[in-house]
Amino acid sequence: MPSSILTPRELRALERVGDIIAPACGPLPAFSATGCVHYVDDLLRYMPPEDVADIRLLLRILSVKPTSGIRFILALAGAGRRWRGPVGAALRMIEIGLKGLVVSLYYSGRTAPGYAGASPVDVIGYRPRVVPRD
Amino acid sequence: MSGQFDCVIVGSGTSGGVIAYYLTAGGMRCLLLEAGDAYGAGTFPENDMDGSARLFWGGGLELGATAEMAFLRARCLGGTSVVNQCLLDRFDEHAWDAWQATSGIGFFNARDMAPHYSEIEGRLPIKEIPSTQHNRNARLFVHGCEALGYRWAPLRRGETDCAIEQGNDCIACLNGCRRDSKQSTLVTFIRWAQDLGLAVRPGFQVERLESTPDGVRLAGTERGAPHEIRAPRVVLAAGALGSTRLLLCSGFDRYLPSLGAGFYCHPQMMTFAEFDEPVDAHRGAFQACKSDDPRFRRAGFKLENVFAPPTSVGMLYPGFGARLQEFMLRYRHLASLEVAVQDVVPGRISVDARGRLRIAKRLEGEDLRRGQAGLRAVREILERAGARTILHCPIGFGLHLMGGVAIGQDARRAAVDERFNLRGFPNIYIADSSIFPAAPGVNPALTIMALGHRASQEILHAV
Repeated sequence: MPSSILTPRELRALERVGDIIAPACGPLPAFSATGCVHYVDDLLRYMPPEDVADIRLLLRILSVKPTSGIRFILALAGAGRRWRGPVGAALRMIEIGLKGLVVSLYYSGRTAPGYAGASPVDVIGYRPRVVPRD
Repeated sequence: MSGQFDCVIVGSGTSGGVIAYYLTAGGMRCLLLEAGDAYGAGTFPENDMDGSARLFWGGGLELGATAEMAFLRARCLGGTSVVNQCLLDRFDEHAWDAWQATSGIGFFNARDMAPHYSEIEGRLPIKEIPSTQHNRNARLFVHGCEALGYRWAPLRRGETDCAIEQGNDCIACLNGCRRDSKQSTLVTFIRWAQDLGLAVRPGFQVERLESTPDGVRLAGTERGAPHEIRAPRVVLAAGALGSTRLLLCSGFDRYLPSLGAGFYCHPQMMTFAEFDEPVDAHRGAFQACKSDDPRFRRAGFKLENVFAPPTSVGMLYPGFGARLQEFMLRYRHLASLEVAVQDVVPGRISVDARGRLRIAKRLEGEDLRRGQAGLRAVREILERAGARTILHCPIGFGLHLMGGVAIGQDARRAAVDERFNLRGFPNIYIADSSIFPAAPGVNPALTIMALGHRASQEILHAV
């Protein structure tokens, strides 16, 4: 059980959303393959409780949608960045909330114990060096 | 807890750390409160996800009311000085003239502020980043500027030894400097003040402030448990959002109707450009130079050569799926430039019935025109540098959060007077970025420190 905040159903929805936002692509592994979702609590526990509640609700809604439905909602949310008014604001919040969660986990450099593939940050060549102080 | 301290300082960032030092050095018994946790060179997060989650409010970012802009502010001991690049610039005449015209404050000029700048600069090692430390992203920026006749300048940074020649990558210090080279208040003013007896309580979030006949009462939570502190006086140094929110939640808008007005943030927009050869913009001094062209200054924007970790680049890219992944596979080939607008259309900070922040700020009107002019200059520079493709990112963000409790002579428009007192409340002082009367169009950190020094002298004089 990688999360004490999300339910198994919400976690499965997050993995499906993650695979749509960050699918396998050439040498890049799919979101779900890296196991980065194991660290979702490290992100959620620092977020305001009301934001976490909104994300959980969104994941529960998406959990009953087919993949094509999730893809449509993400595309609509992306298009919403040009819209004014409360609908545009809601769509932007959905896009930033879901994409922020997925991208932060996927490009954190953290992978599940036992994952043998290359981390996404290694694939794209991002491993900043910190030279120790003498 | 009463009678133990002469002064409580709320917020430990660029302002709070400096004020805490000078008040403690002046003989006052001070307590510094910080809502976030205390980290250090050995405990800073080592990846960008943990860095965003642990070191920033909102678990990474906070959205404006319409979600068109995102705002970043740190929540840790040392505040934003821990996660920024410690860029230290004095205001120019243009900025001071605008401030004086807006506020009517007499000391807002280069001559009167010079001693305060000098005091801060005299305590911090400040270096101009030399051309020998430019990575390819910086070289492309310089090449594009020089080919087009635009002036540029090296950034001035507070650092001891960033070991660029030894292969250190400063992008890692967006999650706190693990070399203790960056001159955040955490490793300078707060540490010096602690040596003189400053008490520090991280994990203490102040939720209410009340003025009492003998001083102030602060109510909040410390690691979830309710606590109350009384003291003869308080200095608010929680930044534009933090200080304004505390005053609004405490009902001070009944006496000071201008509270929350005049919010500015130097709206910033990133542009990425793809090059055939690797750029490796994340290597070395990833933020090294800026525009220094009077035409840009007059047009109301500046450019900074800067880059971002993949968590941010992926977020800023407008799309998902295979397109996003293909873009990220070119990460090492990306250069980037940032436009920062000197915004003149004020936003407004308010709170809802549950005390949650509501930030009304959009890029519109004159600010939008300034941003678009900046983006045209960015495109011109990157094209001249040889970019194959150019992508302007759709999300604007604010890192320099300013205003909400403006300083000024006009009591109807300004909640703080020239002695850094909240009007009508002689035991409440503020000198952080919330008192900014307008956006300066210059990195604000050094001026926040200089104002902190001036405010501390006022407080010591009053005591």
